[in-house]
Amino acid sequence: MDDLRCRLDRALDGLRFDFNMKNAVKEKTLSNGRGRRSGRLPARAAALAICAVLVITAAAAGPGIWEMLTGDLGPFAPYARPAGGTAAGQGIRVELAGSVSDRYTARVYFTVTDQLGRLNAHTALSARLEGETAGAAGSFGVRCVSYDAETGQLLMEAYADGLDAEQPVTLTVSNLNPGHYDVGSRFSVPAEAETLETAVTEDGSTVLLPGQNPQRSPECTGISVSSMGFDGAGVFHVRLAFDEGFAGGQLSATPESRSQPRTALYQEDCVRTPVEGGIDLCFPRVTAETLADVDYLYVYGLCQGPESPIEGRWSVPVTLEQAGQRIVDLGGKRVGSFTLDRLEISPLTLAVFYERDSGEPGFLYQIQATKRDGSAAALEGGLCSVLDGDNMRASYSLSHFTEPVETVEIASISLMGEVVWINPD
Amino acid sequence: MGETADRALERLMDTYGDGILRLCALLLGDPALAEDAAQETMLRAWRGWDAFRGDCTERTWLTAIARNVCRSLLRSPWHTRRTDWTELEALPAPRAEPEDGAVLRAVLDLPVKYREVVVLHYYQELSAGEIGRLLRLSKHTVTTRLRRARERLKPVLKEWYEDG
Repeated sequence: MDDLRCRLDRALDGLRFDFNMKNAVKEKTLSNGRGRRSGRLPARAAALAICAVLVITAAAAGPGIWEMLTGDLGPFAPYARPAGGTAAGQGIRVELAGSVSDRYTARVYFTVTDQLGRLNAHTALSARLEGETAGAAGSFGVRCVSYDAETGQLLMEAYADGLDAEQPVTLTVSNLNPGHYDVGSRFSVPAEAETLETAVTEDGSTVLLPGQNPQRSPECTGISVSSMGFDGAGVFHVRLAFDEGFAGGQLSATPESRSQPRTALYQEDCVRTPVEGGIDLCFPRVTAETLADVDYLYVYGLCQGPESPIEGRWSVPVTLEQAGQRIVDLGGKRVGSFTLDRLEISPLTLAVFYERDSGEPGFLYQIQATKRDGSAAALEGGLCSVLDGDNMRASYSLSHFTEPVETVEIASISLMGEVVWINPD
Repeated sequence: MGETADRALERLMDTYGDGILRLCALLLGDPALAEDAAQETMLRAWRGWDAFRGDCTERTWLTAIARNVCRSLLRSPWHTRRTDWTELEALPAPRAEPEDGAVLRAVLDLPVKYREVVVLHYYQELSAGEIGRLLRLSKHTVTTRLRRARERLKPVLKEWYEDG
């Protein structure tokens, strides 16, 4: 065992987590809030999203839950089916409201209420549709449809692409955090290069003393700028202060350039120093000469407010009623280096199954569908996945219709620019 | 926990960075992708530092994150590159002996499900129970996969078998 480990270590000795990699990680920490997903890919297009953390911003009371969810579904409302089931504990009640599903996708609506009234407009939570995936990958997420401030009720949608909807599915809600604050506010920057009072921390960092030119933003809860200006050595600092009960280890800021906006020009080489009741951020790129180019200071990231997270997991089995499906055998037709197997068309989605030639990487994308009348049935990105993690050739591509279709109306599809005609059933 | 996430990140990168990078390389078989995965692992650890409760070792925790990151990359439709072991084998490894390359090749040639358990057990030194929890497999499945993987590795790891 030791022998194998040593041999692999020796063989991989050239791989080092070097200075450049460490710096790259540190830079990313400055531009990514902690607790926030990296968001490299849109949720619906992601091959594998685990579960989304959600910040609720909507605030709408009024119509009943069913009306709200069908309103949210728009043209897909006729495919909505009522769903029943509840999970309760710690004062929280999760209740299914309805769903829309086909063989490989599901949209499940549910409400979350709290007997103790702890939920609010900035609550974050995780939710996931747990079940088998049709292929090796699935894409899962959750979003808020509405928050009713009067009743404290959240209406949520959990969705999944690549799900095997014929297998049991469970909705699991966790990580309820009413103290989740997503900050994103602008603060003005002093017009003059003012030198401020400083102190030196135990580890030798120079930081601004608090309260020298404080600023608040009405849209920024829990955080304020306590001091902003230059130290005695001409280095620009911002000292952020947390209100009572707030903590913001995931918080950052960037001086925005007028000449090169959104390039994080002045964020490079930023040094963060924790200070009592806040953070001191030092921006060596902002100098007396470049100060005029700084348009404003943008403070952003996540902070934890005084509201306590609610521990627990709430799981509810979901019964999905799948929309009907049309299966079209493509009988080994060839498109480029792909051998087509079949199409599975529902009013909601189009799934193309195929096998890639040995050694040929990639998936089929750029899929378009045409109806019998010659009009396009618009599709948007979904998911591409191999069917089995051990066989990298057999794959499928799943796309969403932007409006429901009559499956028999689809006359042809275009794959990577090649048209494949579908025989009428 | 006391230690801030920023300070913890520095320490984690210094202490575990090389090991996590190599783990990612073994799981992905692609050194360039492994760099991305190792960086993403450290970033996720930084984000989740407050949630790390110490109910496993830091190394096991980072291993779990790295495995999830690599799994996501392997499953991603954007990961369209076919794994090219020669990139990994071509890395400068001054201390390596000729047989080391053959061992690396043999491990990389294993199907993903066997490679994962071999790397986690023999390289990261996780127990079958820990691997089971990480991969959501029964301990029996893990030991079966390890046995089958060992059989596949047998031709290049004679000493290993002789050592028992």
